[in-house]
Amino acid sequence: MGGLEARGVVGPHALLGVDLRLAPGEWVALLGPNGSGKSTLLRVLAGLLRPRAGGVYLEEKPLAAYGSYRRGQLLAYLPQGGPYPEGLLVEEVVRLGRLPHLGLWGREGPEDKEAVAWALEVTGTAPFRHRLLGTLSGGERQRVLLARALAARPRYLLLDEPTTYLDLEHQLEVVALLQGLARLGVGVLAVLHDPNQAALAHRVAVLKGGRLLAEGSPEAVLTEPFLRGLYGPRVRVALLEGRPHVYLDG
Amino acid sequence: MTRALPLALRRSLVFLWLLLLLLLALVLGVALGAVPVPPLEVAQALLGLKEDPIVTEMRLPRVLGGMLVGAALGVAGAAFQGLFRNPLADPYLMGSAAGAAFGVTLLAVLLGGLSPAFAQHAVFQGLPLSATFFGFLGALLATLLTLVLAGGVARTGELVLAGVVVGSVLTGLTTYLMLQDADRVRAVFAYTLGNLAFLGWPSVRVLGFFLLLALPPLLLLGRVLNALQLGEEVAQSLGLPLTALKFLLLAAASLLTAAAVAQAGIIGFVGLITPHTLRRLLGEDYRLLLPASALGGAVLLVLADLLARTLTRPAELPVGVVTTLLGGPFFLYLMWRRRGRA
Amino acid sequence: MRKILAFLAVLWALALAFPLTLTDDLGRTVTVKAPPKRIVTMLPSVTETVCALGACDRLVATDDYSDWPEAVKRLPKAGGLYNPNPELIVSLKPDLVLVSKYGRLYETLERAGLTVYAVRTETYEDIFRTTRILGRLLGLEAQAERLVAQIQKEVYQEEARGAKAPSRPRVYYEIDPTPYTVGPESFIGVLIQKARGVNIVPRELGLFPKIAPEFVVEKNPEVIVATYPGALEAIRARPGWTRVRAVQAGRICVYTGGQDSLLSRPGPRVAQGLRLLVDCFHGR
Repeated sequence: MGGLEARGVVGPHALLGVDLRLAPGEWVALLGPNGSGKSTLLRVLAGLLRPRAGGVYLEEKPLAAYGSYRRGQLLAYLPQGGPYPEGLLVEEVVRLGRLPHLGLWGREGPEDKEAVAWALEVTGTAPFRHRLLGTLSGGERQRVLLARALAARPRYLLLDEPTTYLDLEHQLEVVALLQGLARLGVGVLAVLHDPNQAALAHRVAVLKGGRLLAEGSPEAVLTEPFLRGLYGPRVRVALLEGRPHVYLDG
Repeated sequence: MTRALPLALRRSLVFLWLLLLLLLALVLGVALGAVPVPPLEVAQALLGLKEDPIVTEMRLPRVLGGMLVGAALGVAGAAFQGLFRNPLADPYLMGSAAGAAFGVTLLAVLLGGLSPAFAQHAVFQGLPLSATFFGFLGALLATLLTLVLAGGVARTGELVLAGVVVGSVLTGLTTYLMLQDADRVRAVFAYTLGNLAFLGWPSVRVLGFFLLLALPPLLLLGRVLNALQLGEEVAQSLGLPLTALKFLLLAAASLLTAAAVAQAGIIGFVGLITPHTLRRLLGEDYRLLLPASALGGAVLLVLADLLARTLTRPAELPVGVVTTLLGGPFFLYLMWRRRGRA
Repeated sequence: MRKILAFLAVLWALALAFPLTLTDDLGRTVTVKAPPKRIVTMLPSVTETVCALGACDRLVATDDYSDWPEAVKRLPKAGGLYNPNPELIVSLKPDLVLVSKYGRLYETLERAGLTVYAVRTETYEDIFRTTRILGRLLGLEAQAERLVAQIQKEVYQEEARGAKAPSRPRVYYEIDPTPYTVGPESFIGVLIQKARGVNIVPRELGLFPKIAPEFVVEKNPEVIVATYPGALEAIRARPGWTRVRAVQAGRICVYTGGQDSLLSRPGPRVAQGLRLLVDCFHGR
């Protein structure tokens, strides 16, 4: 079976019973209005928050049964926004991603170096590995933080609004990167703000008021009547090359 | 000028400079003092060719002890700043030093059979191990109290405010204990402004012991502090046993603060200035910042003490007056810079 | 008849003397309408002088530190320089309050309508100046002159005793363990000189300098005087101080528990303080 799975997750905060499954190699977009519980669900899946009822299962085993380092090796989590260690070298930031494999006292071996090099390469951040994080643009910085999450070579990647505050070009870069990672077999779950970016995912899940409102392929979920219910009556949806494209009327 | 250099080279240069400055501080500290001793005689005394207790029994341990106190305060400051991700955190502003002073004074009062007169001078002559331990408890509790009052670490302004409140209250209590039976205002000043005047070899040994105890965990945990700069959630998601590590870091920084306060009183701003200046030169990598802050704190305090004991010689200024005169404007500059950015 | 005339003359003089207007040590003009009967003193040395003038029964309260003569210990205590209790003072309705020139207690008391006189007692000369001022304020001028003469006589006796000593030891005087000492121009500095000791501290450092320990070791005093508890152990344990002659010879005189007041208060018992120093410097 495999996969990372929320089963009947209730609480903390807004969640009122959520079932969601993320398979390896799958990229799922999580949509929903502010306060719907998206970020909370992501933290619960990452093992950072404990649900009041229900549970999270990682490859059929309760997540709580994993040691914290093992969990860190399998799941990588990237929160929204800072803090950013402006005075750290890009390379050191990415190397921090190896901590689940190294523990407190481990020394870096060839495998660790290779993983760091790969993460830098795949995110296109290798050219500024010797620069301080504070000297990068917002988009470059976001890719470095993503590289940090990738350096553990996780099987599942949990991202909270990885494209927010980026300009359009960098947003698209990040989305393309997520697609590529999924092709490499990584399960990607990303909270997104923009339905048009969600439309590029394999699957879309919509959360509202702590419940899963809809789940399925972008074409099945991102329909005009559904999105009007979610965002308001001016929402229009057109199909471009078979994918839904959302825009506002007028 | 140094900005243009590659970072790796710049970092090596910073360490080289720190080591040179440390050597310079050592030489100047031992060579200069209230009593002029010709350089040749200083050298002869150090080599054991000539007996001069002023050099070997007074200046050398005072300089070495000052280095250890400065190193402890510098590292504690860096650790506090990293742990709380707050550039204004330091043992002085967090109330930690005041807590240590209160603990030490309280112990002295208890040991002296509630005779504050005894307490007041026992504090200065250093009740070595137990004093540091009581100071440690005081520092730890004061820091935790500051954190509770500030409602967490993230809000810089609240943290400083809470730290100042906790520090003032504890300094008030310490003053109260010291002033119990007589009008000993000078003693209180001396303690709240720091005093390196009687650091001898026993003090150096006690300081060395506690530094050996508290420095290695801090230096080894530089990477954990780096991970904490990504935020607690990320650090936790990386699998780090965060609660235990944070407590270990807090305990080690508190122990360093207490060891310094027990031997030398409250010396402000060394823990603030040192890591800050070095962060601008080295970046924020705590694997480098912690050892650099140890060296930088040692240099800063020995040079400050050198000023304190030579500017008005043969009278002395309280060393805390010198560090505060350096640190106050520095603190204002930081505030101003932060406001400029916001 | 002549006796009666003399008595009348005294009464006449008193009647002329009051109301009395003086300028106090803060430069304030103070008017006392009649010889005060209810006095509060906020300085131990002033308390001692008032009592030595025979006016102890006029005191209604003192500061916390006044402890001589015995009778004043029973009086209400109105705080110290840093923590005075003006409410208590006002409630006692004194007709004269004697305060230190330091602190701003006089402002509060003045606002409450009390007569306040600020006194400076710091130097050796202040002892006699203050005694004479208090004599005028209290209408006891003759007593004041007698007291001045008596103190000077006692001091002279001690000085004469010191003068017989063959040598003048180098002296280091420590008032506080951090360490603070006394300059030659301070009150204690003058006593050291009168007791025929040589203060190792140079004049330029001022009255109460914080001194560099290595300077003390370099000057190698033959006698050390300290006026705080536990001084003996503290001084012996200091790095490098075992080489100091006073420490080696065990010539460390520690005065606490009331004796320190004799040395620190410029008041009528100054000769007793001087005697302590003469004994310490030259033996009995």
